[in-house]
Amino acid sequence: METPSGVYMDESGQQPKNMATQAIAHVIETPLREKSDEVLISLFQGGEKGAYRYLVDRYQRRVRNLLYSIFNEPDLIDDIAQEVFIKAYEALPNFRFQSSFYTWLYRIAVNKCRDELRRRKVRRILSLHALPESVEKEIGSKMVVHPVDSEMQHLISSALQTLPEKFRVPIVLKEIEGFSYEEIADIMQCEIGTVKSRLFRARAMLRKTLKPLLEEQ
Amino acid sequence: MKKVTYAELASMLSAYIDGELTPEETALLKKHLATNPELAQELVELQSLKRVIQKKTMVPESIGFWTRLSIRMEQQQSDSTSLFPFPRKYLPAVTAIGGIFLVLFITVAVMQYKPITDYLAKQSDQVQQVYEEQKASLQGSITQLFSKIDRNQVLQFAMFGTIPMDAQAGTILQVNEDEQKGYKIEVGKKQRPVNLVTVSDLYREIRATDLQKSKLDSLFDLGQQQIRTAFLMKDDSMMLVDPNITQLNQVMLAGISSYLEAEQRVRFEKYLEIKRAPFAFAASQKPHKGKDALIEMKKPRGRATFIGFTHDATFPELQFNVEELRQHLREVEADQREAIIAVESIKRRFATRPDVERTIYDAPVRVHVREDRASIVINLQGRWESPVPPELTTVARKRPDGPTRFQVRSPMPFGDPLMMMDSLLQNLDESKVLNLRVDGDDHGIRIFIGDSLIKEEVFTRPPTQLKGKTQYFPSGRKIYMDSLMNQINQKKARLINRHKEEQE
Repeated sequence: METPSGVYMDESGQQPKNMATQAIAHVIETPLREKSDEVLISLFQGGEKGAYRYLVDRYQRRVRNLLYSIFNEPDLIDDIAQEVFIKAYEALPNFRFQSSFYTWLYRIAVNKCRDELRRRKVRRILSLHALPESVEKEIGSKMVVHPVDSEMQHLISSALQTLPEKFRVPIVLKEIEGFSYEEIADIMQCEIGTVKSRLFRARAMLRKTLKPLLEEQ
Repeated sequence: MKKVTYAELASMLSAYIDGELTPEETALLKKHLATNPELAQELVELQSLKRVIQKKTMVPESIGFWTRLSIRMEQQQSDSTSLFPFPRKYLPAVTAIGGIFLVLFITVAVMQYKPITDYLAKQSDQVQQVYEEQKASLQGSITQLFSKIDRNQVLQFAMFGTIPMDAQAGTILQVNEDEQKGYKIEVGKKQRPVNLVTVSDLYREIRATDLQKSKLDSLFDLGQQQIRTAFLMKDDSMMLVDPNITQLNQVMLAGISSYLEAEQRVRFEKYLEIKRAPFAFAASQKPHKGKDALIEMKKPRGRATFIGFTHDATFPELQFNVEELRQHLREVEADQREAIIAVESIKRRFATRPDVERTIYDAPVRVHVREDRASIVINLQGRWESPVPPELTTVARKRPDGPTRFQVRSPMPFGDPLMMMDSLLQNLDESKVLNLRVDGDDHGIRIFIGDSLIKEEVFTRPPTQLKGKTQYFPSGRKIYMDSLMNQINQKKARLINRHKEEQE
C-alpha cells in the first residue's frame, strides 16, 4: 500500500484485528438464568438454593428502585434491599404461588419500608440529638452507584418525600413501578378502594408541591 | 340517575388516567369532561403530573449486589440452610471429576460449615476426614495464589507479564496489554515456551554495580509483595485480581531502567529484545528517578478494588482495605502450607475449564473461557484510577508484533530533508505515533513507529553518508537529529492538543 507521501505500510504495520475481544463480547447465558420465576422458585424449594441468585439478579434493580423512590437515600438502599432479599430468602420455602413472585417480593419490600419509616419516626421522637453514624458501612457501600439527579429529578424526589408513607408507597408503585390497582392492593394488603382514594389524595398533594414544575411542562 | 357532584367527578379523574374506571364510570366522566372546562383542565394537570413523575430515573444496576448480599447472608445464617454460590447440581459433576476438587469443597465448607459437612459426609467418609483435618488451617480463607514467588519470577513477570502457576500442568498466568480495549489477564496452558530469565543473568548482562544490585533487589522485593497481594483466592474458588497489577510490569521495567546508566539501558534494551520480551522503551520519555517507582509502590493504598471471578460469575468491583488485607495475609501465612493444597487444586481447575464464554453485567470486565485458557479483559479507561502516575507506566511500552510497523524507504529528495521528514510525519497515521525511531543510512531514512527507540543507535551512521545532504547540517549530525526530534516533539504536542480538544 502506498500513500501519497510514499509511506509504505508493511504487513505487520496493519492494524491487528481484535478478534479475541470481539469473541469475548459474545454473550452466552447460563440456562438457569433464562428460567421463569416459578421454575426457579420450584428449584429453590426442591433444594437448589443456587437458583435464588437468579431471582435476586432479576429483581434487585426494581427493588432498589422502589426503595430509592421511597427513601431517596442512595447510601441506604443497598442495605435495605439486602434485608428485603434476606427476608424473601427465609420466606421463599413457604411461597405458595398464590400471587406472582414479584408482587410477593414487593410486599416484603413495602413492609420493610414501613418498618424503616416507623423506626425513624420513633428515633426522631426519642432523640433530639443528631443520630450517631449508622452501623459501620458494609463492604462495598461505596460501590453503590449514585443516580445522577438533575434538578427536575431532585424536585420529583423531594416532592415524593413530603408525602406520608401511606400515600407515598401507592404513588410510587403506580407511577414508577407501573403496578395495577389490584396488584398494589395485593402488595399493600388493603382494598382496591383504598388504593384508589390514596392515589387520588397523593396526586392532589403532589400537584400542590410540584405546581411550578407542572406549569413549565 | 343520581346527580354526581363535582368533587366526586374530580376524584374519578385519578383512576381515569390510570385506566382503572369501569366502562360506565368512564362514559359518565367523559360526558362531563366534554361540557365542564374546569374538570377538563384538572384532567390536563393530572396527566401532566403523571408524565412528570414517570420521568423519575431508575436507580442504576448495583454491580456486585449478589456478592454483598451473599456475604451478609452467610454471616447471618452460618448454621441454617445451605447457600451455594452456584447451583447444587454442579456439585456431583465436580466430585465425579475426582480428588482434584476435593479440597476445593473444603474451602467452600469453611464458609458454610454445616451444610457442606452434611453434604460431604453423605458423599464419602474420606472427604469428611480430610475436611476435619484441614478445617482449622483454612479458616479465614483468603489466600495468596502466588505466595512463593521469588525474585526471578518477579523479573519474569516484569519482562513478559507471566507467572508460572503449575509446572506440572504447564499453566501460567499472563497479563497482556490489549490493543485498544485495555488489559487482559489470562490463566491457562502456555501457548509458546517462555524464555527463562534470572536476576543474576540480568545483572551480568547489564553489568550492574553492587549499589545498583541492592537497589534493584529492593525493587524486586516490592514487586514481589505487589504480585503476592494482587492475586488472591477466596473460599469458594473465587479468584480475586487487583486490576492495577496489569501495569506492574511496565512500572517495574521503568523502575529498573531508572537505576541504569545510558549505556546499561541500551544493554537492558538489548536483553529485552534477545529474550523476546514484549516491551520496549520509549526513549523520547526520560527515565524517571528510581525512587519514584519505589515511593509510589510503597504508598499505602487504602482501599483497593479487586475483580472476583468464580466459574460462573464475575464481580467487577470488590473493595478491600489493603492494609487490613495484608495483615490478614500475614496472619494466614502460617497456614499457607495447608492452603497451598487448596490453591493447587484451584489452579488446575482454572486450567481445565469448560468451553464457554460469558460476559457478566454491563461491566468493563469480560471473561472469556476457552478450552485451555480463561481470560479476563479489563478496560481500565477511566474506570480504575491507577495508584501509579502515568509517567511511570508509559516509559516501557508494548513492542509491536514484527520488527516495524511502518517503513519508509525512499531516496533522499534534493530538497530539504526536514521538509521531507515533515511531510512524512504529516501523513503518518497519527493514532499510532507513540514512539519514533529514526534511522539514517546512505539509501535514505527509515522511520520506525511503535518500536523501541534508543537515541544512541541513531547516531551509528555518519550523516556524511547521506549524499549531498551534509550542507544542511553544517555543524554535524547532532543538529540534524535535534531538529528532527524537535519536529517529532512538535508533532506530538499537536497530537496531544488535538486529543485534548477532542475530549473537551
